[in-house]
Amino acid sequence: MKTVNQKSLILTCISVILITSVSPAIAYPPDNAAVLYYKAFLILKEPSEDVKKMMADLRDGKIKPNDEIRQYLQDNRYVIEFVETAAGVRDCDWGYDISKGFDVMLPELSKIRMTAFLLTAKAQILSEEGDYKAALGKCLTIHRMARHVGDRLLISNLVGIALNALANKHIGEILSQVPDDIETLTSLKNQIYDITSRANSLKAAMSSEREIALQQIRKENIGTILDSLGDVPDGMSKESIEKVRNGDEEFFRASREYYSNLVTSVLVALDLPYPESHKQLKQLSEKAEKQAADNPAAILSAALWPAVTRICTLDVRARTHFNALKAAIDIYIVRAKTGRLPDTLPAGLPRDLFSGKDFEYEKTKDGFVLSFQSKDLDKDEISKYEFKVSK
Amino acid sequence: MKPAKNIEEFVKLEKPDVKTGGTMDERTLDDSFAAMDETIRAGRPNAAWIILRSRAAKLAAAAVIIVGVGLMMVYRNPTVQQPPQQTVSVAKSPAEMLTAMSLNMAWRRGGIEAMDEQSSKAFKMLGSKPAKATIEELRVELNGV
Repeated sequence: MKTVNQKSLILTCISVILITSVSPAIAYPPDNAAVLYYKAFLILKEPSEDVKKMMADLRDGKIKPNDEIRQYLQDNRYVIEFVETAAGVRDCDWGYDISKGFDVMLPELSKIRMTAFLLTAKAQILSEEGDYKAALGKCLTIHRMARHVGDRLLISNLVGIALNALANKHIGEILSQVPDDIETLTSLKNQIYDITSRANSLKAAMSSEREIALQQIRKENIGTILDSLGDVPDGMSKESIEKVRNGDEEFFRASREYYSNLVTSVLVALDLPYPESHKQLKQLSEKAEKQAADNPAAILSAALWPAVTRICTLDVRARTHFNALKAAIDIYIVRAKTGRLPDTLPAGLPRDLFSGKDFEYEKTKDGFVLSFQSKDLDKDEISKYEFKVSK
Repeated sequence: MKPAKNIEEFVKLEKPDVKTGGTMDERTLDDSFAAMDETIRAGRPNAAWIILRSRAAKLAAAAVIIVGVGLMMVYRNPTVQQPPQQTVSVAKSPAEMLTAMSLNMAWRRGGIEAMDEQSSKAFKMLGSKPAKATIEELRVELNGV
């Protein structure tokens, strides 16, 4: 009996030591990345108008990094440090109160874009200095931030897409300067595949948006809805506004049902290949707009429903850009191994999601081009991604 | 547009700011004639004196002076340009500008840049925030306390 008690005591002591050795008080980083992002945003120094323009020109490749930009990055060195640590944390909970419907606050969205601009500037400077691995690391941080922005709301999803596009553009530019370095290219490839395997989903954002919209489409919230719709040119007619303003509980119940059914149809359409998906989404939006004239329950859906065809195109474009980047990295790896670009596109590479076919591959004087085999139906044009190779 | 047409348009556009009445017109005209008579009495033999001897010429010159006075008044008190009234827009608080609904609408108006711009305006309205980051820097700010 005595021996058993002694063993229990020893086990308890060991447990206490183990628990206190990993006390949350000294655990860093915290398990919620948002804490670190908010810290970064608190100390983020906003650029002057001149520096803001310089940063934009630098991103567009119109200027090279200068002293003002370097100083601005130096002033924000702690911000960069915080967001890099935050991006490495698995989970990110921004503390949204979804019960507030569309009144939920999203102050972090523009701040996270500003910090992403800091990272691209830093990446460009590092790339100029020849530290390509570190430069690519900054861009990958932006991708991880995009995942943290999340898909709880459609607007968050769109910001995430914009961040991905920003990062991929700069990765493409850095790749054009990277010498044949199989290790760096392979590491980048693995990280890009990892990032895309955990990417945000447009369908998740749409579903979440539906929940929020259903909270919002209620008689007590109608003032906020009408105020916000007054700010957009394609808002609502005076007649519709009156109908909504005078709507009873039954009107709002029917409006919620219409909206919910519309989202269900959209989610089905999003699973189709791009041309069919785009066509169906366009038809659904037009149908809601037409029905709003005769069916009061469709009025709020027609007004609140976002430009879903455009959002679908942006999503496909973002995922196609990732695929182009993956294909390009494989082509760079072939060049690193053989000393020359392949004459034809290697088999089994990720595809152009606009057409569902392989990219069209063409060698150019400076490198190579990967083109879509069908059109972006919103712009009605065929796009391509150009990649250069280091000499 | 030709220069003459420019002036015509300018006067036409700015006319509402020049307030004249019968009394003022008469007084301005009388003052103008008095000034001319004085010039004539002074006996300065210049081209203007010769022209101004006729009543018609006096009237024409007075008209020029009136237009000149009018233009001076316009220049001294330029019209404040009123922004065109498009839609009735209710002023929003910075917090309201940062809601999902408000940012959604900004995106619909002008894409991600419009969203950035709206957020930036909101943060400007919210004012300043700590500029220093480290405890060391805060100590320096607090004079070593």
